[in-house]
Amino acid sequence: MNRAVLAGRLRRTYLQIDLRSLALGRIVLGLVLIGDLVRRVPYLRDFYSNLGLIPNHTVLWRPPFPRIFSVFFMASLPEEAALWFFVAFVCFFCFLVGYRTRLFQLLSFAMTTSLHNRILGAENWGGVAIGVLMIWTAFLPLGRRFSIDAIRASLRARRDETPADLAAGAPPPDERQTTSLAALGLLLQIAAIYWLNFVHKSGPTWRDGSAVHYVLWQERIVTWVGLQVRMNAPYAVTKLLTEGTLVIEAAAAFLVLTPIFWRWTRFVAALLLVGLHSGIALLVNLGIFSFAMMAFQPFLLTDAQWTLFSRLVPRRGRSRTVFYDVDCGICWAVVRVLARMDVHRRLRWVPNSDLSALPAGVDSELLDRTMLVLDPVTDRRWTRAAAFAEIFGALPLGRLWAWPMRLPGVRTLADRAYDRFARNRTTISGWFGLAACGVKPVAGIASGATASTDPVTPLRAWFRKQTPFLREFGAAVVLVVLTAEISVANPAVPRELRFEHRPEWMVAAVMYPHIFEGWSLFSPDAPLTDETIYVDAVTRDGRHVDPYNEVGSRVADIPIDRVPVRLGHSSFWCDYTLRIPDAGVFHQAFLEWILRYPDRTGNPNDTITKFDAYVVEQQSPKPDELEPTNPHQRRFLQWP
Amino acid sequence: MAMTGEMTGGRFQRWAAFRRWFVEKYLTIDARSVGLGRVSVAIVLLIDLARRIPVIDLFYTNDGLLPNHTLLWRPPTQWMFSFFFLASLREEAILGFLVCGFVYLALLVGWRTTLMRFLAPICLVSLHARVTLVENGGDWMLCELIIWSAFLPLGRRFSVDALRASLRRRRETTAAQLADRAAMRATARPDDSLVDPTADVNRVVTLAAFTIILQLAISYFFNAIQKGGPTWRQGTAVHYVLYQNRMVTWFGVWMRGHMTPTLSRVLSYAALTTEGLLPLLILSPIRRTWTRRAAVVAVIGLHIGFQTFINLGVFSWTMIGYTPFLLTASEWTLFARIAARSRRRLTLYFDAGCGVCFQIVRVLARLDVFERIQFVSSAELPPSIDLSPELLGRTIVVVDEKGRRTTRADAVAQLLRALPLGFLWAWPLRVPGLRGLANLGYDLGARRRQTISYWLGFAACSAPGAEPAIPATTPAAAPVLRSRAPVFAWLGRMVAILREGFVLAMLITIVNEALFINQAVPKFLKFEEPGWVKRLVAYPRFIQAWSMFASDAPMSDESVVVEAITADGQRVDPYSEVAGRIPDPGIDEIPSRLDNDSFFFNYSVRIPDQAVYHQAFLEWILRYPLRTGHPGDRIVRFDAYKIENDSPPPGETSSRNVRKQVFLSYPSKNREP
Repeated sequence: MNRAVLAGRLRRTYLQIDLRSLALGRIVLGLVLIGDLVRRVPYLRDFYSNLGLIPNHTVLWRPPFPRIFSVFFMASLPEEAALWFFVAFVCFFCFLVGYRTRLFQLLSFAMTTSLHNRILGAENWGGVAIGVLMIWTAFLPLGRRFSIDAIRASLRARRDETPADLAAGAPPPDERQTTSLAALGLLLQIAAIYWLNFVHKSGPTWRDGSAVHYVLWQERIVTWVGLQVRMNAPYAVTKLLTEGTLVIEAAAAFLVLTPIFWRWTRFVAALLLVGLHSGIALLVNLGIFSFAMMAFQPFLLTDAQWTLFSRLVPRRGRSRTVFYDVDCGICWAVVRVLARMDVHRRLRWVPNSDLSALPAGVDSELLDRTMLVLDPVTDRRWTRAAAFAEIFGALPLGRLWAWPMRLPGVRTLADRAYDRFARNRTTISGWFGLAACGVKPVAGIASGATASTDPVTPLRAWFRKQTPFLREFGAAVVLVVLTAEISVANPAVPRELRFEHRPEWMVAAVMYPHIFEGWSLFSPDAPLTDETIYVDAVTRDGRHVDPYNEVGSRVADIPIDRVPVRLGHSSFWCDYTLRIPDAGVFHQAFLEWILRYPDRTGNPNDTITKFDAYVVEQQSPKPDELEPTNPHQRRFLQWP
Repeated sequence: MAMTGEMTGGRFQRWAAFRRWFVEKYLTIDARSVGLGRVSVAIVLLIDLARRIPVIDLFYTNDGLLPNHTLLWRPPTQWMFSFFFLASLREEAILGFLVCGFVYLALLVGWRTTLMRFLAPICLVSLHARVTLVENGGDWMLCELIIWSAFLPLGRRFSVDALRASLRRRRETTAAQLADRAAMRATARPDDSLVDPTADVNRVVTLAAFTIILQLAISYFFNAIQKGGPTWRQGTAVHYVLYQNRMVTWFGVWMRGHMTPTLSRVLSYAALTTEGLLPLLILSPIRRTWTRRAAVVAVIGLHIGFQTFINLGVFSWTMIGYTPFLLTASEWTLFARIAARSRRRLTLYFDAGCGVCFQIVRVLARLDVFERIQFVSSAELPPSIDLSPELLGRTIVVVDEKGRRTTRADAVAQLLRALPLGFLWAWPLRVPGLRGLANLGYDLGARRRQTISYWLGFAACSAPGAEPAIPATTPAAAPVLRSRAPVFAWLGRMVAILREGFVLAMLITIVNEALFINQAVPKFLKFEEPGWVKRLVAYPRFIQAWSMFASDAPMSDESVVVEAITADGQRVDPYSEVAGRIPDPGIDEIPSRLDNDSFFFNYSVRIPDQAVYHQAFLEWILRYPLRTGHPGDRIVRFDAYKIENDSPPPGETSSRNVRKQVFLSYPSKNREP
């Protein structure tokens, strides 16, 4: 095999990634970001304001790391934090829909980093997973497909498009592969995560298959499903899950990196890993971690899977012919956009000026009032809102948007809205400067085109040529930095391979976004003990209350002598519970938060006169036991 | 019924006439004043930023006197915004300063002005709100200046944005087309005035035009009426101010040695009278041109006077920064008449084959607002001119009104001198060493002009005698009009309405705040501010407490001194070493002219009574050996004193009655580091 062929194969195998996979990955990642944001909203006051458990000044006074970035340090009041939450939502949403993708990806990275870094005392490794994924994908064109940017680029590329052009077929989407060192970096990152997690799981609980058993006895994270499995499933099942976890994690690195049948091994890896993390999410609540790891998987899809998906997509049954009013500028603009969303080419667009193409029984007067959608196979016809529903139904995942318009009440409303729009379409077209029934469009805005741009000068063209080199250089730097970080953060890496004396800038590059790549979930052993905290506070009127667990968990009865079953914590409370007993610097903030109990309840009689805060620990039962043993507790804080 | 109709019609006409009159007098501002105001505001912002650089460690990092966590833990106000709270380390603060510097420079030159006039207030508020403990009235005035001016079209004149817009709208292709200056000026119109070509492009109508001058008037009004104490009545105020050793300048020290009671009275009454008259001069609708001119002169004179005697930080520069917004169209007409008196006339001959040269000429034509320069390309040389194409291939040639010729850097200097304020840019090119360098640079550029033209996408003809890049005759350059869909025009109007609505809300806020916070306002006019007003005041630092040296000039002086003993037995004062001119003033007196910056004299005044910040102050003192680099400088104990004295009465020169009080000690039985 000559070198060129080998180089080409290596490039295809490790440096290329399908634009559709990137786009799908962007959508999944965007949904994860939004989900991560939404799950923090109920705890905005408790974790993102100075009325909460982790005031900004305490974190800045005793930061967990010397270098830490978060815009939320500017927010002391709940309303200030809420404003930044809104900003984050806007960034995540624009990233999700692929609007100014590059800009909003960078802003989303800043916002998600800020969300996590603000409350590191209550975070787990889900934030790190999101962070590294966003860093690698920052070098990849996530917005070239399935995005608003892609539609706009397509519209700009064919400014002078005519209905005849569209009838002949919408412009083909971009189906190229992108080549970048970042693609290799992403593959290596995925392999490293699972391989390191695998090799670190070296303790007895993983060797003897009891790890999942012990994990399910973590009352602070076990879910309802996990509880059922723990109570009802035989040990053999949990042992199988333990071994399955190890097998999948070990296999993942090989499946992702192997050059043999790589198009399908990666797909298998993606399926296995989605299964693994879905299982984890079902059994234990690890916050955003499982979903963040699932967000890596779309990037493993190759062109082979997309070809397979397109073959599986039914075309014939959902093909439609759409007759529309070509004189209506706004209608034409909408048609151009819809044609580009029709990636499966199910829709044929026929302007009403093509009288010969009109079906029998349809005259141009009908098309002046409504568009008409026709099933070419059955000759079934739809108008008004139902026509739109049919068009949506033909688009990818369109049935998600189409079904509401078929509901009886909603359909009537949609019809009314459609009629109103149709009656006023000339005015609306005029408002947007588009052509409308003999009225010329505003100069320069014909067909929705914008004003022409200046020609590309040689200097600008030269700069544009340098962009890929700069991008690849950036990806190479990230590869070096993260490789160095992995080498020092994971005990499994041999000492000879560790980059012990990194320059300061490398350490800072990892510290600011908090992407410490130590991958050792439940390693080397699953936890053999469980713990929780409770606060026994006495109110002015003599009642005993637990202000902490009233908001932080499902069970707030006091006193307790063992960890209650299934605490139902969110991950924030779970991680805060683990850390607060030994985090003396945060005890003052914790104390003040407890004393603000009457402010939260609104009842002056809830004024706390004294309290004790305890940590309760217990030994998880062995596989042949039913109950935890050795419960004990110690006080870690009291007032006065 | 007819009479009622007439009455209604008459009332309507009177109302319309009043509205027109009010709009003309108070809501209209000249775009050139706004452009000049942008430049002055940006300069003040840069001065404000530059004076904070030496104290970046002290006030913007956690190694300083005011760590971010201390201010967030015990905030001076519950509503604060500053992105400098993100910065704990020196390099993080430096990054913030660089961002601010970039924004201010962009505002100065008018690049992406619409964005920068939004970012500049954010930067300024962040700089100030981070250190509210060391703010003074000058900082508040600067915040108010930048925020009010942000609502004005700062980029419409004298800006890179205006220049670029003009270049885009009219793409001249011949030197002859450059001569049509009227057509060129027409391209300076903002988009909305393209609809009405007869509209005055320099006329800006907005509520912000009123609020910015009202802000200035309010500050002088309250400063004047609240100066009711004996020192102002008796005319001894200036005398006592000069004995504020923490802020007096060297000239102030010299002056106080020669200050007689009469002189003090004259200066005190002059200051008081000026402050009292300024609101009238600023807001007068009668003979507005002359009253505004008088106001500009009064403001500049008053504050140059202040700054000469005492260091009030950025206060005086800020007040002077307001003055361009007081200029009316009459002043610009006057400036144009004065400029027109100059007989300077230049003819610039340049190479027609050089694309980048022609583009530079297009820019020069737009900067040449006095129309002193005529442009002639080598393709249009009149036969009477004795200039060879070979010469024009090596250098431009400038011929002045007396027929004198200059080339290369000298020619560039001539051209720059012909532009407004051009002497500022031209003189460096005449300095002997710099002139040589400029000529070298010119030759380098001239030799490569074809390459540069090619790379920038301009025409570039390299062969002598070949066709010129710009032909002698081409069709006239037509303006490229940008069309807007009606919906965007409507959106633009909505944005303008929202903007004016926000200005109105801020106007209500400042009036409310001024009435509430100033002692001189009668009680019946004061009422509790609603929450939204408090927030609109606190977040952007829109404080309206105007009582500088009011009701009386301070008759006592104060300072802070730290007496510390190091591990090797040395007596040091870590605070005075950084705060002023005298590193070890001692505790027996306040020395003459401490030369504190406003940050330090405000900190010194406030820290003794701000116990919540004492721990931070203590820790900063104990970090002394880290700053000096000497382990022997470890502090074993210290006492922090507040030193006060009574200023000498008029006719005397020695302070008296020195008092000292320890407000912080280390170690103390209740305190551990």
